[in-house]
Amino acid sequence: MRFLFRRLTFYIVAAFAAITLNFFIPRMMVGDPVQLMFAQFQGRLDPRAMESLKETFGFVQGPLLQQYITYLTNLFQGNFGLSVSSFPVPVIELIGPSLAWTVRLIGFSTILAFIIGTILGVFAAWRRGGGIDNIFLPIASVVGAFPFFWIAMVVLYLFGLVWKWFPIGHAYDVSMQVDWGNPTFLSSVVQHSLMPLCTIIITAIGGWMLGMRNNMIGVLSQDYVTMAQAKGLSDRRVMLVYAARNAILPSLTGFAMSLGFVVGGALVVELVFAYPGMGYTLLRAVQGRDYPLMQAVFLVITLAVLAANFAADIMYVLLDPRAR
Amino acid sequence: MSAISPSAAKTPESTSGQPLLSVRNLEVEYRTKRGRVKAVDHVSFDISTNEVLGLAGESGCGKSTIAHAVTRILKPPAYITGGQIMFKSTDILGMSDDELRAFRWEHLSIVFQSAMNALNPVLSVGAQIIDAIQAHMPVSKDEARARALELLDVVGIHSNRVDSYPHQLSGGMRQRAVIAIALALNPEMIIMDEPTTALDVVVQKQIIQEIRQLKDKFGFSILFITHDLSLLVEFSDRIGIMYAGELAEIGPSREIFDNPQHPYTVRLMNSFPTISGPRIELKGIPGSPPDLVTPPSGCRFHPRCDVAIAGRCQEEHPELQQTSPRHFAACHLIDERKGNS
Ligand SMILES: Nc1ncnc2c1ncn2[C@@H]1O[C@H](COP(=O)(O)OP(=O)(O)OP(=O)(O)O)[C@@H](O)[C@H]1O
Ligand SMILES: [Mg+2]
Repeated sequence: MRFLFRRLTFYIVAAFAAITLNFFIPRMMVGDPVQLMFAQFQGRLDPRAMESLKETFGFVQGPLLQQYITYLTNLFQGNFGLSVSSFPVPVIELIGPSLAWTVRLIGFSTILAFIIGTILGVFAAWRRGGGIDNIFLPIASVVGAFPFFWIAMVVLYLFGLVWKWFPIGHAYDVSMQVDWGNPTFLSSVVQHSLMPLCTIIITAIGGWMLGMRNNMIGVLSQDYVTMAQAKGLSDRRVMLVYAARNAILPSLTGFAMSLGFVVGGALVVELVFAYPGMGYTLLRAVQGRDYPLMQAVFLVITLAVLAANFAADIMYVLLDPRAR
Repeated sequence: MSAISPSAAKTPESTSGQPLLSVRNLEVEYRTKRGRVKAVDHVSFDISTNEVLGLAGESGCGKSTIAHAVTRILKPPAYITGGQIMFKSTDILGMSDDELRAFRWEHLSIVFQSAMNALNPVLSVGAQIIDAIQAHMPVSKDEARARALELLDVVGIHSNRVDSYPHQLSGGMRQRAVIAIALALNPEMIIMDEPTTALDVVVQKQIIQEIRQLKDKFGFSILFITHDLSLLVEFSDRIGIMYAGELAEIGPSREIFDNPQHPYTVRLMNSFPTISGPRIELKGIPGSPPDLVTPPSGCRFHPRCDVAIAGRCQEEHPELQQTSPRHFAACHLIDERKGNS
């Protein structure tokens, strides 16, 4: 518990540092950043947008401290200002849904890839030299070594364009209303997610599998595993509670990192499959020079990395008594 | 049975009656890149009920390999290439996986060489006793836990440590916990592979004392492995001395101590201080144990033996022979002495 508390304190401080940096960076620019941005649009920007830009960056009247407090208050109210490219939609309304799509798709597939890869790794080590170890593992490792972009394109080309098994682009059939209670809508969401989901999973499991297999092989030679066998425990119990429980611990750090990249690292998948997530939103923000949107995306990415790390710490504490 | 009866006359018999464990001509090898390491070569011995057989010898002579062969927990590259291991009337080497699972711990348990590594770091000590009990007996978790508390008490660990994890215990407590786990199903025999080597001398003596009391209380047999002969002399009923994968000498502790027959035993005895005996000058054994891929011809000890008989010991492999009713040794000098007397 003390450990978790210490970590939490650290993450809060880190989050605060990121937020504060976000506040100071525009102020450290030479000149008035808002004027600069405005100039870049060469008069194609609504003058009202400029006011909102100013407000977003906290360039309000009063001393720095007061500006900072205004900025923090806005932030905690979820007020990231108005989008410039889709003026006057509030940034939060653009970020909210895309964050949700990303977390659902990329988060789910990252977790699923970890679980599948880890389980296969356990079996590969347990039946060393068996089918999973000798056939499946090399294939998965080779697939994992291909550039992700390339695999995604192949999947899109074959399953989306040639065989037309799955719809290409977007998260659901755009002719439908978003209604999570509607089974047709749900099935559309699932169909739209299958290609990116499978792409992420097939490229990621090889790495998890190899890591877990190697950890397992190390753990299997430990005396406590041999002793568990000598105790007459079932193979299942020896494999899961004695071997895998210990072998998974070194994988958790890597898992935390990939969870942290769920929000920020999904750019390529979302571009290839035109999935309306954070990566896609970030690209739009950059193309439209939508600074408020960009800034909010970066902040969310930072917080996501911190949150994922904290989640990994919790897992660690749950699985390893030595960390408590 | 007939296969082993010819050698039975020459094999070391146990103290009395039908043996609990009977090992005959056991051969184990490790198949390594360098070749086959014959870690155990034609080893035979018996252990009877409530008996302590000590096994001593330099590091690498095959003691742990025997322990692991008897419990059948050897993994590749180790292979049992010959011999027979009988527990009462069951053939351990012939058991199926299911039979083996049921047999293990209930009849025969083992305390590993390093208690530090024998406990699962992510399970509490109690859980590691409970799962052994529940694997063999149809008892509820509460009953198993009650038994775990009892066992911890028996080995001198306060019952409030039942939910402690291994890293929270001292080395001595961990060793006691491992012994408690070994006692969980009240087995007829416990193999103890250097149960106290990692501990300081005081704790070591305490634990040996406790093991002795537990043995008297529960009546199990012990195969006690150590390289500390002085410990064995006080603790075991009989002692087997191993050299380079073979049994060099085996007999009642006092006889081994007072009247060692094998030059290696003499050397081994001189290289350790006795706990109670007179202070003698300690001599190490010159040279080092042979490489078991290509062991020396004839008697394996001859290159290091200062009383080797020129010609004979290099050539002829000595077999175990009886020197007194329960005492056997494998040395050509015995013939010489007999010839002289
Ligand atoms: N996994 C292995 N691969 C190859 N050779 C091995 C392996 N394990 C043990 N050996 C060899 O087998 C022989 C016997 O080893 P064993 O562990 O039984 O010795 P020991 O008498 O228990 O020694 P110690 O007192 O150091 O525990 C040694 O020569 C060792 O080098
Ligand atoms: Mg050993």
